[in-house]
Amino acid sequence: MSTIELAPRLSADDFRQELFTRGLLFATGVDGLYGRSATFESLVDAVDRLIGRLSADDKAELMRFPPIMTRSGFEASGYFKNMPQLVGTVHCFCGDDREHKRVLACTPEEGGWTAAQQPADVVLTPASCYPVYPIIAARGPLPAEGWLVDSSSYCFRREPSIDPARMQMFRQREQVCFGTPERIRAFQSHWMTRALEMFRLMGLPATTDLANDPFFGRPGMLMANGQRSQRLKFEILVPISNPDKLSACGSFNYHVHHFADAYGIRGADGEPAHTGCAGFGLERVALALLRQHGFDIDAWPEAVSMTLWPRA
Amino acid sequence: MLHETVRNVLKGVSDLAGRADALSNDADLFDAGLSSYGTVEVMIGLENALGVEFPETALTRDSFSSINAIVRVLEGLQKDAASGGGKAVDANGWPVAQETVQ
Repeated sequence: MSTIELAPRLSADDFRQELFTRGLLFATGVDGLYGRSATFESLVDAVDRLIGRLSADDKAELMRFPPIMTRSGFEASGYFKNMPQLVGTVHCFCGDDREHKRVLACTPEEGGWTAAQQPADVVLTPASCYPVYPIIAARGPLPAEGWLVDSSSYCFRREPSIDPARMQMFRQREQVCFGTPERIRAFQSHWMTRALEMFRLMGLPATTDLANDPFFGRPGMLMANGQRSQRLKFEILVPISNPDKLSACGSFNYHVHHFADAYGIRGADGEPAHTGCAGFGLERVALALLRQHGFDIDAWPEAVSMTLWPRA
Repeated sequence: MLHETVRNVLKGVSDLAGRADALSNDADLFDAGLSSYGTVEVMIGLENALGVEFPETALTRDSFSSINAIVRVLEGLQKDAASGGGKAVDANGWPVAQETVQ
């Protein structure tokens, strides 16, 4: 942990209320679903651009995605096996006039207007790296030096909360690395160092730590323990809504050959490739900045402003 | 007996398809191709086969690293069950479900 002085305590509820009162976020009546103001968007954009500047020399292939991905790609990932509680699916009406009339007449007990919804061939994207894997797999074996993608997408996680840092839909900016185990471990380590420097430049009291994904149920405990014992996941943590329980603003993951097996991604030698990703939750970083430096962006320390909005 | 049960469960896990019979009792199952989700399949398979539940403390990678390691965990559970205050056990030493006793 750096020696940056922490902002005064504020509960998650009070922090969220303050964001509403000051017009930075707009309440919708659903926890975790908020409108964004021009000021908040400019902050998210500044964080996104900062990540872009710091990684410009990586020469990653840029891929931007809408907030949905193919259902087949999602199913292949195994996400529903591991974290079913977070998944959001897309269902659509596929009936005719008669069916339309029938469902409009359905009582809530009969399912209401949703009574004839069918699962679509798309689902909400859980992480911005997920749409990348099938695209890379379809290209055939990787080049000998591997590959690097710079992805971004709105992502969905079904975990409604009064904590404004736990949104149901948020943006991720994530690099995805393909190659040998050595390349992925170096990528993971490089991004952890780079992220700590990035957060220092933003004046945020950040630390990194070993972590695990929120795997579901008792089998999930086994998965989580395995992930930790192999040191596959690290997070960069910052106090946002609760100084006693830091919030993860980014993560640095080594998937071994999980996605290579799931999608058929092969290295130049024909063997399953190893993959890793390093991503940031853009809204979370924006909220960490507001929490640490105050709600008036014009009054932020000059060094922080210069980091986020450097003069050309 | 337990070794055989464990091996039978491993045979049903797709990660180790066709290889479970050739594994020595000390062979590293992860080196042999067992994935994280495959480990979960082994856990559930053993729980169903033996009518036991792995305690949270046993839900680690080490517990499932080899056939011998799994058997050690199962023997520990068996011992705990046997010393559990005179509860009814079956011929294999596993606790009998309460409904059956009543």
